[in-house]
Amino acid sequence: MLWVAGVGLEQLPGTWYQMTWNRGGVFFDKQGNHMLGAGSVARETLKWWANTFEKGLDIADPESLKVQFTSSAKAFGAGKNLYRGPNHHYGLNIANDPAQSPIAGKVKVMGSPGDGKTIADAHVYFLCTANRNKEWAWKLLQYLGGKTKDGNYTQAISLAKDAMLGSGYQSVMNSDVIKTGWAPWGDVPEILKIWDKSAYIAEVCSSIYQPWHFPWTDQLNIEVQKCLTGQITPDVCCDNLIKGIADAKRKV
Amino acid sequence: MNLPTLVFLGAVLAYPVIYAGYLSVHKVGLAQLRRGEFPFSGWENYGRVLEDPLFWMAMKNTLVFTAITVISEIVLAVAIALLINQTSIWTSRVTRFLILLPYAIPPICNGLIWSFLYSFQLGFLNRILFSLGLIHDPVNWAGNPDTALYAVTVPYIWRTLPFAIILVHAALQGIPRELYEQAAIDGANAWHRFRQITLPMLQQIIAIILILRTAFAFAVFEEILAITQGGPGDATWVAAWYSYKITFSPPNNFGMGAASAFILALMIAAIALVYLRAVYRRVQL
Repeated sequence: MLWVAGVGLEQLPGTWYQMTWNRGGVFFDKQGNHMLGAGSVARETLKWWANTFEKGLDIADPESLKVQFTSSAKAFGAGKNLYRGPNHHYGLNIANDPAQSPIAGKVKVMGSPGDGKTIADAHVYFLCTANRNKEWAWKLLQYLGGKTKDGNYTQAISLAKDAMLGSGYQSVMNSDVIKTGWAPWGDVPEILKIWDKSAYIAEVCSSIYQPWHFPWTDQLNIEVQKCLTGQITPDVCCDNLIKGIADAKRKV
Repeated sequence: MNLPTLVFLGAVLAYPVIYAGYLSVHKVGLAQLRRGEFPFSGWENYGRVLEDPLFWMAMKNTLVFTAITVISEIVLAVAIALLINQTSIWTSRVTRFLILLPYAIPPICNGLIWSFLYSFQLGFLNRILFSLGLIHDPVNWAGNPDTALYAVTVPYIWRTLPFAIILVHAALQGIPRELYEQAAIDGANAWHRFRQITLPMLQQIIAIILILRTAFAFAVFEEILAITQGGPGDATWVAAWYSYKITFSPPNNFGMGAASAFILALMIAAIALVYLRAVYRRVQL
């Protein structure tokens, strides 16, 4: 199996967040207290995840730790793995594209285990108010994140069509753009069912609203990779991350 | 006459260095950039860098990386330059072009090429070794913390070696033939000629290569970005990667990033000074 676990803000951390959320856990509670202590869902999930690598079940592809969204989909397209996941940014438009993948047409999408809980994040565009030409800035903002003059979500629609990126606008998700545009790549109703079960990433990791989340994520990437390559145990990894919260706060 | 040159060099070299120095003693993050005000913070950024265990981990990896690459480059450059300098060995223009070719490859492309070569299941390297019967299972060259740092040294050496070969080859051509002829008459064998004539005559060019290559190896970045991105874990975090992450990853601490770059520059300058003193002391003896 190929995990999407390359270094990044979303890849490796996102995979751990998703699996933890799916098992009913979070990383921080509403008050901002960490939930990484002994017996926590996040810690137990990491133990299971680390066990899929060579010193445990030996079912995880070591390349998992190097692949990002697109590169993982391309690697999966080579046909050497049975499973790629969690399915960041789908990647189906690559793995099921005959021009890019020898296994095109054979890749199926599946919801997460159990009740199918998963996570998603939506990106927003914003511009600084100190623009020389506010009128054009407003037009640009509308083009990128809203409706253009013709009343369409032009950018959201083209991202959905070209990159198979979901949209934060429900009308786009319900439109024919998705139903017909995504059909060559996967089972659209199944994908939309997964979409409906997703929670915003901050539900799992509320630290995303804090400036120290980013230096802490840098440490998370390092510690979790060390854990998945057998250099440290999941317990040591989580203990280091707990200590790292204070360090990250000092860095900002 | 020199004024345009000085102005140009001042604009493209001195200004960024001075501005980075300015940033390193000011608090500069996203909030300060937005406000356009950078409060003076004295040596605080330097202190925070020097207190960060990740910085020292990156420095340790940088030193290991530099030692391996620079020593390998010099040994290989001298060997290859001696080989192509032999009048008895015919080298075509194509061969010489191929020797120089890696130096023309953009570093980031070089990193990507080697990341394909190193791929665990699909890489050419494992395929070749497997075909030769040297391995029975694929090796995770760039993804194993025990091999990752060594794995990134190879693409770097491959790319930068031609530069050292050119310098050594040029220096070899400047050694008078008479010295070798006289040594041969005196009964010196090939090893003695190399040891007593070639090596001393190459000493200065080797010192130059040492300084230049050490400085560049200390600042290695592109191969790390393309192949390992500092991973797995912190196995390939090097100094330039540290500066990059501190500066360009949120929360974008430009002041601390500039301070770490200045510390790195000072270390390179100190090492260059040690090299120079050691070489010139030897020359005087």
